[in-house]
Amino acid sequence: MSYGDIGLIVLELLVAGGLFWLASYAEKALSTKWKLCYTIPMILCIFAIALFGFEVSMLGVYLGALCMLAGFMKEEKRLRRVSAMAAGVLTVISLGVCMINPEYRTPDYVEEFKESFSQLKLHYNMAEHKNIDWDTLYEEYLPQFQKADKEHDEKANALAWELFVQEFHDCHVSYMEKKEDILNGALERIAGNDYGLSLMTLENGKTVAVNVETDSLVYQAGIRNGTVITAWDGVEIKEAIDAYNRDNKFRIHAFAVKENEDFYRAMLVAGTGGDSVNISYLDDAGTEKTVLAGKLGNYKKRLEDTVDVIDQGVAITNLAWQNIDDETALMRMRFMSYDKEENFDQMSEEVRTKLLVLKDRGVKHLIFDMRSNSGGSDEYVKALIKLIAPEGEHTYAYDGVFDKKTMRYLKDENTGRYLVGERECYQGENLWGHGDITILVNTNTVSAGDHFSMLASAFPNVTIMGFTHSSCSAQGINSVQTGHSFLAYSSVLLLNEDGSVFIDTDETREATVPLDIKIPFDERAVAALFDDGEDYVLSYVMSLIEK
Amino acid sequence: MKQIMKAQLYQLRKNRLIWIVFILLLLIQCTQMLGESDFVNQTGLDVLILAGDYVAGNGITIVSFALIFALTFTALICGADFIDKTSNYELMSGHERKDVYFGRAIISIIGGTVGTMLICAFPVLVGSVAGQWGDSISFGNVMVRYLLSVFPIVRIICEFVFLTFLVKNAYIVMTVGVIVLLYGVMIPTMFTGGNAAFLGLSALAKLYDFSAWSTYTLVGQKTIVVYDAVIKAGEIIPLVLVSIVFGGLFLMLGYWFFNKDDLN
Repeated sequence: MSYGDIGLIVLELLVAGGLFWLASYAEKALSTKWKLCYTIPMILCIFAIALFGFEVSMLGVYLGALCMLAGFMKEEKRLRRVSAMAAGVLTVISLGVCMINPEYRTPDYVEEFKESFSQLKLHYNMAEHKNIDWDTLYEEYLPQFQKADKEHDEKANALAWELFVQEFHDCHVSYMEKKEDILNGALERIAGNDYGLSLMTLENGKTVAVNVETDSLVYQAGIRNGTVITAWDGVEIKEAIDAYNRDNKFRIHAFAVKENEDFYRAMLVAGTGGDSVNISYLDDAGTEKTVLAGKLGNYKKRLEDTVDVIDQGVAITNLAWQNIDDETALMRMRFMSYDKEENFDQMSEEVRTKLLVLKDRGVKHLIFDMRSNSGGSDEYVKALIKLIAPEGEHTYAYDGVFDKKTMRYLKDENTGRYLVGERECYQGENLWGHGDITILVNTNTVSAGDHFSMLASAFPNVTIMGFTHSSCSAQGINSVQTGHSFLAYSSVLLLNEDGSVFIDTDETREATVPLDIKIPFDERAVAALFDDGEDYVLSYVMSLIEK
Repeated sequence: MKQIMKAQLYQLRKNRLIWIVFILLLLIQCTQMLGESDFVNQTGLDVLILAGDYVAGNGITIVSFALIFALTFTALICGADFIDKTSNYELMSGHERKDVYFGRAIISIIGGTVGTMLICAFPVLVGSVAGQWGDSISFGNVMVRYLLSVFPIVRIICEFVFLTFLVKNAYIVMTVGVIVLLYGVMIPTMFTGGNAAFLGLSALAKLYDFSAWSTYTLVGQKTIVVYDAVIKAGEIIPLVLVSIVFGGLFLMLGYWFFNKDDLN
């Protein structure tokens, strides 16, 4: 029960008791002022409704307050006592109703969806670019929210949101529950069963086991990290993966780039099946075998661990430096923020000093590890990118032209492209012109992380590397808050000079931020990541530098 | 009742305090608007006041200030005559309690509402004439909200009437009321999860606290704020109904109290 309602019930019971007693006392000490006390419950109820909202289960409390108002209107001891008693009884009944009523103060999921949907429809700036069909989305998802609402199922509501936001293929459209356990519970529902392994498809098209549980039937059967899986639950593995991705909308991330989505597409199949599942695999001799694996629990944890291992970066804090060898230094950028005051000039000066020191020491190779960079301020990007940019003026991006009346960004009627507003630029300092720069990205390098990668990709000494492209979701964001969740979405339009959209993928979902070297996800990568616990991406970069 | 109302109107003409408060509030509102640094170009040559932005950003402050007039007016009309015993004489001279009560209440409601609405509108009119309305908020939608605010204002005046007949001292009512109203500006942040229509001030806050949507620019990180002043029928109906019900209830409570109250 809500604390507000408990407080009101306790207060009303106390006031009812007090007014019952006051009925006799007021008769002896006659004064018209006493009768004002009989308005107290009503005033309390008015404040409670204004503060916490009206609740049907609390109707007894509200009626009790009205009963006690009778004592104000008629100065009769008997009437006042009866009304105080009635109020007490009604309040106790209300308490019981609140405790057993499953609909007590449940949020209206349908209303929340409708409200957030209308906000999104009005303000989401990538709708045309990504060819979003609002009507189809609404018709598809409304029943899911209606079902969640009818069953008072908060996890089903969270799951519906999770699936809904993934439809936008925009890493800037996201849903967050204030209570983390609700979303976790929802994801557990969809993750499926854990059979002691996860799956990844290699560069050569083979699907292999990864993150294999050593204390499991599959391990006992001889399945190790890198073992080729040929069939899942009796279905040829490629077909099983295709079928899952065709029949299910849930993905581990809201991938903007289709190629990135495909990289992880085998992973969720490992959660499908009943209490046990037949897994066919090739043993060391290349013979196909099948093991009946029982479920060990929920797959969510293993799924997340697998993603973490693949997406992992260097375990150092944001903006920290690491000397890899005499000629190579690495800086980790986990998010694009500096300090509470966002003193980016100071940050820029700090990095400038460091770069000059490294240069003096003879360091030639610089690595910016931006894997899983969650974005942040574009001021941060400017403060940093100017240090490594060739000398001269560089364009960052252009603003769109916002029309307050229509609440839309204006387009050129002839070309159909957005009208270009002011230009954001910066002056390059070319502090690293003597050496090379490698930027490590993954599909979670998002927003300002995308900005940095995109801008740096134009410099001749920069190479962008990773298993996948960065997220390619880079517009400015806004958010809408419902009763118990946040919905974030792209809303601030950033453009290129010609009025095309800056970075964000269109409906083709082709990557826009270059990936100069796509690191092959092969048997060596699996062994290094899952057996040796190695940061394979970094090792790969180092091997290239050494060559 | 007619005689009592006429007497109140006569007193109103002679009462300087009411007129001073009225003019003072008008001046404060205008000064506040013209001095709003965000909306005034300090060059002094081309003064640009976006009245729409001012209303959108200061709605609840405007109305809270304006209600000080309704409070003063009601307190003086309903409460001053208890101090010099005029009310007692009226009763002794044969007027019914109903007439004494409602004669004052009606004048308070009409005069208080008209004065409050004028004080709310005046600075906006001045701003619109001196500068322009702007495009952050729709003038028509603001007008709808402005007209709808009559209901909670009347309701609040009814509550002032009840309070004044309870306390029977105009100055105590004014002091308490001013404190409550000055804290009224905090109301929008207090009633986000509840039903705003259930309190007079929160209902007004709902009308004058416009939901804003803001975006920003990459260049210069400028914030662009757009206010949504559209009010849905689903919001209007409870607001009007609750205002009428509670206004009537407090008016009747005041009468029930005064009807049997001891007059010293």
